[in-house]
Amino acid sequence: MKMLFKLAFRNVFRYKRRTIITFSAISYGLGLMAIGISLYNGVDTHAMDNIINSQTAHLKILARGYFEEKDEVPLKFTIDEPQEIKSLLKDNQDIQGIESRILFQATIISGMDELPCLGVAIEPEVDPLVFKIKDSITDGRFLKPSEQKIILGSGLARDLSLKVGDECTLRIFFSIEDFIWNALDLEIAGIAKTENPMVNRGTVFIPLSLAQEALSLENRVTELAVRIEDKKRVLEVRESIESRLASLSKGYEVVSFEEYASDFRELMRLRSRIQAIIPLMMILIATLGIVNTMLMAVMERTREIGMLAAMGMRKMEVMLVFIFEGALIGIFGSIAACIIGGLGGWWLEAKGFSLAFLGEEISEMVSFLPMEVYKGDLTAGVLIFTLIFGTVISILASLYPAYKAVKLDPIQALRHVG
Amino acid sequence: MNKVALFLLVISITLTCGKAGEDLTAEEILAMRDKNMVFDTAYSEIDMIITIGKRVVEKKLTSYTEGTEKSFIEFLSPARDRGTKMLKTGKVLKIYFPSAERVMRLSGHMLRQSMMGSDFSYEDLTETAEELRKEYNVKLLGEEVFAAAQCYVLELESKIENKTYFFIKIWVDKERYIGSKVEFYAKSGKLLKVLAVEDIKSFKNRYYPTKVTMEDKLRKNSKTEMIIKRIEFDILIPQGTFTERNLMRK
Amino acid sequence: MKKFIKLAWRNIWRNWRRTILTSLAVAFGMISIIFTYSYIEGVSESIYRTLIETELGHVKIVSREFLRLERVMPREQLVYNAQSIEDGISSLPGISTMTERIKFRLILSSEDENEPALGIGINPEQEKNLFDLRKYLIQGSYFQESPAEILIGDGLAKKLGVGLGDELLAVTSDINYSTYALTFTVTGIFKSGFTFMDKNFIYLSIEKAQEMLDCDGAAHEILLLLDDAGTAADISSEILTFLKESGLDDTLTAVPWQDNFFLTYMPLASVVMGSILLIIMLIAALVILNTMLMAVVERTHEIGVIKSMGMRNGGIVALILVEATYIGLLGVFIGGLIGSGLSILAQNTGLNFTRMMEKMEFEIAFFSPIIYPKFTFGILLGAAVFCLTTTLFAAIYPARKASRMEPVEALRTSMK
Repeated sequence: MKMLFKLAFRNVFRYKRRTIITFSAISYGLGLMAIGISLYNGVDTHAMDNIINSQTAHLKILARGYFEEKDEVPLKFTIDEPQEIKSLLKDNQDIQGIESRILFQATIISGMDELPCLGVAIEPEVDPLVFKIKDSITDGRFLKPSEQKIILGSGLARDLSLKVGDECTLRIFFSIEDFIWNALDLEIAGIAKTENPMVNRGTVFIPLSLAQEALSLENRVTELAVRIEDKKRVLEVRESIESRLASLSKGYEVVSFEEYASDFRELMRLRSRIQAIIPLMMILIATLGIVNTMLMAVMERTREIGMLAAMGMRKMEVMLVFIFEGALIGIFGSIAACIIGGLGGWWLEAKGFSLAFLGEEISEMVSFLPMEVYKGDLTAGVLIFTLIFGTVISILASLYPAYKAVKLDPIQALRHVG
Repeated sequence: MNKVALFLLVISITLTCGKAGEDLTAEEILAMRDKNMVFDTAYSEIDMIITIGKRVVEKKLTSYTEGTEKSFIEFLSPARDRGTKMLKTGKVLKIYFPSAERVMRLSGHMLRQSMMGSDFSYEDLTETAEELRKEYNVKLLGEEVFAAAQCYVLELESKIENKTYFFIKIWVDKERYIGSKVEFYAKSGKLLKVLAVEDIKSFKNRYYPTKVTMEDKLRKNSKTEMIIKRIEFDILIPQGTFTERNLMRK
Repeated sequence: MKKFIKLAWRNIWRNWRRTILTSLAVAFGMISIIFTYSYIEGVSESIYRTLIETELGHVKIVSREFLRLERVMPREQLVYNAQSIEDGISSLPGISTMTERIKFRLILSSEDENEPALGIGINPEQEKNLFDLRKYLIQGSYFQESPAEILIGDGLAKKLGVGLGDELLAVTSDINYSTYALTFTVTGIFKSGFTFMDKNFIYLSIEKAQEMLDCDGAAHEILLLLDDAGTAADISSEILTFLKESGLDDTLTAVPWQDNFFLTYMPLASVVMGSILLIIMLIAALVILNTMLMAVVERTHEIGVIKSMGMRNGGIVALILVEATYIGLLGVFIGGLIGSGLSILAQNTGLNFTRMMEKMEFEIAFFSPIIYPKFTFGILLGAAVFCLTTTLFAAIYPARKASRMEPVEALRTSMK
């Protein structure tokens, strides 16, 4: 066995050119495939990040019952002790920030026009720790605590022809079933153009204290939005928060961004199913490339096989030599593929390429793939897949022709001129 | 509770008899106003002139009302509205459409929306006989002259949280005890609607505003004038008025 | 030269297995490029088509205020003299269909339920040319004679608890603030696959919609379908000039479909898709390159033999290139055939994703639930040129290298 492996190893280095070609088929092919797949996944991941940064945060703590009716933006499920919860979770190392917020139904009135919108009451001093609304202010400035001002989504501002410094009226519905409402005159402090068009199109941000007063929700909020250090640990953090909250009498639920934005995720899933054909195509053609090169490399060696057989090597052993060779080239090729894919994917993820050349309009767009810089998303999964896949394919690709060659009569094989 | 009511009744009777009204409390003033406005039953013929921007729409309607619970409205004009009837019993509004010959049942928030584009909501219109002192706590702010009449200025604050008109400010005419101007405020203090009385008529046992203008302050350039051409109080309302059959009668 | 062609032909069939493998590489490249490209084209075309059919037309004539406040649908922002505008612009070349729509919010009332809905008043005959609702009817039939027919989305029908033949009361506030109602009979139920549409839309005849809003002869939108979608911008500006000169209505505007807010997303999508396609092409090129390299390298021994028989360097390069051309052409032919075949097959049957879309409720229909890849001859040609060039390019380097070798050395390195 050891001898066979040695032979295979020597063969790999003896036939340098052939090895290099096969090796490069695997490494470039799979490397490009890995880059392609991360580019393809990037669309989903970054759209999700934009939603996290502007709408869902990583986790939301909600009063029990809220989540089921979240589309109605109800006010009857409130968190009555936000400060206590905040201090309970203070020592959690994973948490970067917790913000008390209230979501409420509203309409915004300017002149003759009245448009429905979603009101979001925020703590201006905490919000930047959890969301990225502050970074997306294009005109004016961010809110200050308890001032009589609002931030308007850019789409709303455009539709109502409002600009920074203008006054408008916010009609706030605080009993949704009866449509009992309150109205506030507010000045526009800033316009937000987030990378999430849904927010730009229909959201008004208002200081929390103001909203609590207007909605008669003194010290109460409808959600606590949590940002954590590492998005991948979201489920563990959720569990630890849940166990902390278990001590409180009132029932709370902790919802991850994936559950909260399940509609969006559904759309993403659909998109990836519809377009699954694309990464599939990449895998397919990379595979065919490898198989092809391997097949050719082995087939050209029929004569050699004949020689080995003539020297008395058993068929099984001949096959093993070929499989070892395939595996060796496959493993090293795949490692190289991971390096190429990793570097390329990393570059795409870190830098992305700016789409600014497409013009200003792009950032205005309403799309479900909201991005200004198109970035890749490289995951360990893609690399591991590349590694295993490359090796397996190489072995399989060397299996068939080896088997075929072994079945040949040695004399005939010797006669075969490569 | 009963005692209080009786007490107030006694007071109001003595007051309307013309005896000194100098040192009335806010509650008493409001009670006097309520007494003018509140009736058991009424029949009225109304013209409504809605102005939105440059457009003016005129509607004529008749209305039977019983307290705040029951109300029956029938539109006479314009042609598109003729024969449209509304029946409100409790918190349910039923509307009959002659063009479709069908009835639609509405409840909840529809009642708070603008009625046929006017500055009045369905509730504003069907609950005129509301006794404000039951719903609001009242405070006397002082006296002012409004439309050449000396008025008490009352500030009302809702007793419950969930109320759109959380604050009301009323200028109550000192002689006739009619709110000659009413301002409706949201809880935030934002002015929502203004009702101005332009004409008050005297009836058998009360004064009643017969020409008012309502302005929805959240809408720009809009007002609705309501002219009560004829009104009869405490009449016997024909049997079966507040029924669905009456709604569908042709 | 003729000699080369013959010799090359014989050569490629002498080692037919190698030939097949190499041309298969080219064929795979062809297939993947053609299919992916057709697919991407199909997806974006379906997005465009849906938006054009349901929202935009190729050109939309509409009041500026209605456009600005599209979300509120201000019912009084009408195109009042729709007919005279249509008459006025009918002389413009390239317009194949003009159809009016009225869009308004209404409340539908069945025996037990009230539901808000979006009413679309259409001219059934003309509308068919733009948005053919008949494709989506799952029950009942398209507009016949009776004026009080409505077609209703299946989701909405479910919410209201109504079926074919049931009556519905439709109530709306007209442009003069009167509340007006009509009864309709459900004569058709549609399921477009766009959940928002299926849960909120009803279609009725434009005459009935005009009656409900009290706006005889008016519409909210006139939608034009053009012979060539590319002329939309030009035709729009001609319509604008006409509107200005005729003095019919200065509150109106004409919008080409490309100006739509939602479509500004598309260049981004094409960059994303383009870069992914590029990667596929790169991989395909790599596969071809690799296989060619291998094929030539494995023949060093053979080349040595030919050379020792006295063939010149240039001759060897030419021979290998002619062989590569044969192999390339063979691959392009096989791959082109399979790739186009697959794409055309998918184009005709469509890839159906309807069942996956049921859970989603988005206002804007971005994805049609059935994707039809769009194959064009251009795609085939592009892929063929790309693959053939890559094949030849891949052959040049090893061919030259082999040709420059000393015959003896070439013979010795046979297997290395």
